[in-house]
Amino acid sequence: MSRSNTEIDAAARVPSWISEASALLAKDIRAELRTKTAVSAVGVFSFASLLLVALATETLKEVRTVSMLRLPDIVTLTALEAQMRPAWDSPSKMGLLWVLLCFAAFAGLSH
Amino acid sequence: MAESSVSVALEGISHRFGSRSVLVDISLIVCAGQVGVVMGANGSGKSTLLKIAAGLLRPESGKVAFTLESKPVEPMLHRRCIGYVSPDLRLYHELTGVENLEFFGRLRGLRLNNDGLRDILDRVGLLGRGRELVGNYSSGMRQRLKYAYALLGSPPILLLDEPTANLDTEGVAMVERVIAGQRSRSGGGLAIIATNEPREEAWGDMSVRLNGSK
Repeated sequence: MSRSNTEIDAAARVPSWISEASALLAKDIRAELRTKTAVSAVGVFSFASLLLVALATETLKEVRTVSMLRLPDIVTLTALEAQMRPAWDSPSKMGLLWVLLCFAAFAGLSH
Repeated sequence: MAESSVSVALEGISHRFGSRSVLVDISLIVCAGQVGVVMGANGSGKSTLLKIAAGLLRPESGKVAFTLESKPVEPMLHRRCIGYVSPDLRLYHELTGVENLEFFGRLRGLRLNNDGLRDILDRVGLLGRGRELVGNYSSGMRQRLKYAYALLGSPPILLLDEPTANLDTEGVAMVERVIAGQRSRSGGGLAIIATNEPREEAWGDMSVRLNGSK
């Protein structure tokens, strides 16, 4: 039995997941380059997020916070001052960044 | 090749959506060279039965068995044996017809060359229109492209849900040619059609009439 070049052997090896993933990636990149739907959705989300975060955290720059867990049993003013740190510090920014990245990914994913 | 080299057996298929039973103990066996027709009113479960046959939906009870070259096919390989045309099938509108076919071909492990693509587009009447975006296609052209997708790899089993939806007279003739080609497919081929059209019922060698819910 001769097979045309479009004929498939149903019992043949199933394409590897790498092959399938690369086909999906190529398709998504091609579609995205053509429509820019996800980029525009994520772009608007990113801009809006940065703007909102900047406005919402404006006053936090002046605020200092302290972790109650790190305080000794007997709290003195010195101990309290030693534990004080800016409310809007690196860990807070990192946490917020991950949250924003997560939502941005979901915004893009839906397209 | 033996006459019964390929077959589809749906045995005691039952399915419900919530509290509503859509399919109750439905059985159908279609062998090589045959066309089975599933008839029934809207909502009677025709498309559901085809989805179950295609492995897109798991039945509540019952079994779907394929044989190829007279050997049982592993359920994991069922999808590689079928070509599926359905209103539910979504094509990528932002890609051209050819790009859609190349993409689906790659997922099926096929590397399509220009001759192969030209051949398959010619079969469905889209020759010369393959480089256009699917978003610019008419509904009839999209239906034809679904046939091109279904015919990729010349699968031994065709599942056709509302096979002539949106098609003009030439399109219907194309479907008839596809079905005739499936009957005489080298190595054995069969088709199962879900339809309401009496004209399409006449294409079948056997039919199952679904009476809907309980």
